[in-house]
Amino acid sequence: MIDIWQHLLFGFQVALRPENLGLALAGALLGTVVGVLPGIGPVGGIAILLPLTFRLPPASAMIMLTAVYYGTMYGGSTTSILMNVPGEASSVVTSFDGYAMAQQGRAGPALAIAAVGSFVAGTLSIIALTFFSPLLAAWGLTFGPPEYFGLMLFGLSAVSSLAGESLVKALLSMGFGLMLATVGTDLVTGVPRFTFSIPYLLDGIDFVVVVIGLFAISEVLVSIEEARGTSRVPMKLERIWLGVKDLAESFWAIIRGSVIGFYIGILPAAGATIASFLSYGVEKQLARDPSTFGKGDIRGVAAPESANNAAAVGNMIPMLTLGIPGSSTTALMLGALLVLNVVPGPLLFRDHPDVVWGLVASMYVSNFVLLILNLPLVGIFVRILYIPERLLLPLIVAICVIGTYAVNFSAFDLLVMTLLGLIAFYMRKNGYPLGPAVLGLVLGDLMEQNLRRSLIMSRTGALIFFTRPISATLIVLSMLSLFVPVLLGLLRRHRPA
Amino acid sequence: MSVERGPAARPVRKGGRSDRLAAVIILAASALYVRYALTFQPPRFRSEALGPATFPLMIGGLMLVCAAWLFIQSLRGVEAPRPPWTVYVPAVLLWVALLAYVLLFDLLGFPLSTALFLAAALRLLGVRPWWKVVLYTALFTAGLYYAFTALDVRLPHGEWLRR
Repeated sequence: MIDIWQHLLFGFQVALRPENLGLALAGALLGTVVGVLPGIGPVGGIAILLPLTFRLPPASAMIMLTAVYYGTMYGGSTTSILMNVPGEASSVVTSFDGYAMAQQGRAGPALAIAAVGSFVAGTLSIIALTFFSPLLAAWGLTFGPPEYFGLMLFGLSAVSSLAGESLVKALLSMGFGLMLATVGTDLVTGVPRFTFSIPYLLDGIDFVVVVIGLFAISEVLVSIEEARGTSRVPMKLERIWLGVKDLAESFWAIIRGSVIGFYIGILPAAGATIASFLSYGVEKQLARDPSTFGKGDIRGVAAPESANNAAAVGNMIPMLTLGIPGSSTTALMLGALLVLNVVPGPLLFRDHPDVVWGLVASMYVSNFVLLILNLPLVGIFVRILYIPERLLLPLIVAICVIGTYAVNFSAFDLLVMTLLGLIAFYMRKNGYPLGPAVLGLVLGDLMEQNLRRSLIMSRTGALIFFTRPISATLIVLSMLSLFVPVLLGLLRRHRPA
Repeated sequence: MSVERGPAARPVRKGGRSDRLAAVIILAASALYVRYALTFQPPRFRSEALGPATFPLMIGGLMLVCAAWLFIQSLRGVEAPRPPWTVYVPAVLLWVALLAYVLLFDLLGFPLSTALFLAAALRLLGVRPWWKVVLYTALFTAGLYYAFTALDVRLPHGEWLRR
């Protein structure tokens, strides 16, 4: 316990260095801008900004990335309140009451409570993470390769079964990600795989290239296709203020939202979207007069905004402690950390506590930076909403191209990005969720390595996965998460209506 | 998570002709993937529990099963009403412009290829008149060049200059 404080103190010393504080500010600013931009979601936004961090030392890069991550979330809630255009699924609920408040001329309090709620929930959850993650990491140390394989299988199947409207399309998306992960030289045997004798492919396809193609390029294409002459004008915003009455009214909504969000966030595949819907539902249930919800009730903004921020922090726990991301965003963070040669997992806690607690300290810092940055500057961010898409979208594409080029200085990467952009555009338009693909891409290599190690240590072949209780449980859970919804669907169909 | 579930809840499309076509393409691609994987030879003198082909074959198998499942599902499904194909034209044209951009990136260099792409894209998305297109193109290209050069990203000036 004393160790944690020491490391955390050290982490703060690192995070509060002037240059790192500057990077946190820059990251928060860029993240918010990207989050506000129409036609680019948080995952695509983080992906575009990833190349910026490559030239920084790992600690600084992580600080900037967490600031970007938080920034995109703040930005997303701004557009859903002012324009009724949620930048991401997890701020859909916010738009119900947030936009209604903006229509009544109460955009100021709505934005302020979103910022305050996010800050409080974020901070509470980071405190919880500080105490909870070492325990999980210590448990994770007892895991061997079979347990990790089971854990990854469970992560993948849980995300796929919850990801979209069609399980088979989610699985195809996951398989696509896994296929991309197998391209390149096999690390153990040195055999080149799926390289088509193209030397560029020997090192595999770079993670950043894939993510920019899948998320950013396809998102631009979708917004071109869906915008079609509609002009969206944000609601007017006079000034940001928050009355004592507003604060008192939302206090418990924020606390409940934080708790719900944090616990939902830890579960794989659940995450911010479900947490925001759930906390909104809870507040509505508990309200003396539920009919005010949807018509501009401030609790309807406070609860989901707190919940989605808390969930974003909760989401980081399995990623940091076990190295298993439960969502597209944390998969992206994991990929970014791997690029920085930081391998999340229990060993990171044991061997590099400075890195872990530096990251945790930077989460506290970016959360605070965003609060003080956002309240005064939200008026400026809103201006971005007035820039027409026909100017923004070409610029975003050019930034994607340069960012991708900067990864390896290779025009071949650009071609890969472009092709993946088209594939992802098709996937989005036809109900294939992209989350499982990113997860498959990030976990593919690790899964194969752990499968190999399990089989090497096993004397009974594949039976090892079923003779060890934890891996057996995880594999059974994976199968259940995939097949129970299918069976329920079949039952429902055969029951006479 | 599931960012792509998206704000604009799109109508559920079940099955239909387009899914059947996709299923056939995925089946073919996965079959090629499996065939390629079968050619991987493990090195002679190392005995590994898992050769280079096993994991890809597992993935290929999963894809084949799922594609077949999608095909069967699509037989039952009904094609959802789709907007006319013309709505996809601007997006596809932009993609073609992007493809040309990345193919010419090394040859023409960053400034020229980016300017050409931006001009085409701005025009395509309805920026009028031409002087505005030229103005924004110049502004964006110069801005990007200086911003990224400041970040230490070396951008190519183009092979055509050296010929």
